Amino acid sequence: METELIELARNGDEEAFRQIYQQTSGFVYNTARRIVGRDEDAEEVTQDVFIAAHRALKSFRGDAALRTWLYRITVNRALNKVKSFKSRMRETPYEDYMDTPQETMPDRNLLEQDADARAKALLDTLTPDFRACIVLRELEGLSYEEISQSLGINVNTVRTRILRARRQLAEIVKKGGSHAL
Amino acid sequence: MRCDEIRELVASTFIDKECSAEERGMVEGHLSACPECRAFHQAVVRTTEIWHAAPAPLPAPSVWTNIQKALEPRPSVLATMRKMFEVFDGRHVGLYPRPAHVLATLVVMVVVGGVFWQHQKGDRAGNAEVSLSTIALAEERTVEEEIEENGFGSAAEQNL
Repeated sequence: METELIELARNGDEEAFRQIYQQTSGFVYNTARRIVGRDEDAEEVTQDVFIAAHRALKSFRGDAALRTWLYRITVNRALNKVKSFKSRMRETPYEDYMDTPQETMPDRNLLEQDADARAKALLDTLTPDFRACIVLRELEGLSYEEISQSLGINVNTVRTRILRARRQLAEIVKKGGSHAL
Repeated sequence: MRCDEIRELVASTFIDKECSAEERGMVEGHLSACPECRAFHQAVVRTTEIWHAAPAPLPAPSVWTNIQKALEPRPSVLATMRKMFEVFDGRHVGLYPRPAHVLATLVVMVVVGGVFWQHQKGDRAGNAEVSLSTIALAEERTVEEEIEENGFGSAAEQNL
């Protein structure tokens, strides 16, 4: 099914490309959102990803799964976006996240908003490279091998980054006290 | 095993459920005896729960709209120029001006304006000459009259 859609889209079938978008835009957007930290920036990244993917479909060899390919484009674009406004990003102390204005999700209930804010506060404490690994592992559920392919780095590097990120986050959550629990 | 080794296992293969039975036994045994490592393990678990609870919203519909706009085929340069210089489209002349109509109108206005301005310039120069001649004539008569009035004879007699 995926192969057929890609082939159709590669030959200019716009309906096939729309279906690809429908099936994949969710994880592309969420990955971008968790790495860049802002909805509007995540939307820009998502647009860039699919525009680039549409133009590069002809050269997509299919030796990697479409998801892995899209993850790779997404992480690259998201990290570039982060670099472009690095001065805007600040580390939010996890224990202070309740005092820090967070982007709200007006169409979500309070529990989801709270969960979203906690996740964002934790991710904001990580460097972009660590953040990308944690997002792909913990939120997107990719294996270490898939993360290695998506990021173009050695699998041992992936394991090391995730280990260090988890240790860092665990210390922060421990200090967070009642807010963390 | 030391606490830092246990914590490394906890934050990697143990939490990922990829460790061997032997490793699992070692970790669980240590955690039951070490409150600090147990607190660390609980924090790692809590972090995992935060990830699982985080929502995953879909992108706004405008994202797809913008993608479609960006992927629209752009007209060729030749087609764009042809459209700009379409002049004879009788159905629409009265509704909105074509760029060629506007350009032609401007050229005509500049030419007419230039001719008019040149004409005006010529008239002003001619009027200036007439004025100067009138003043000169007036001055000559005044001088002659003055001479005659003062009794110096006519200007001709004075060789003026």
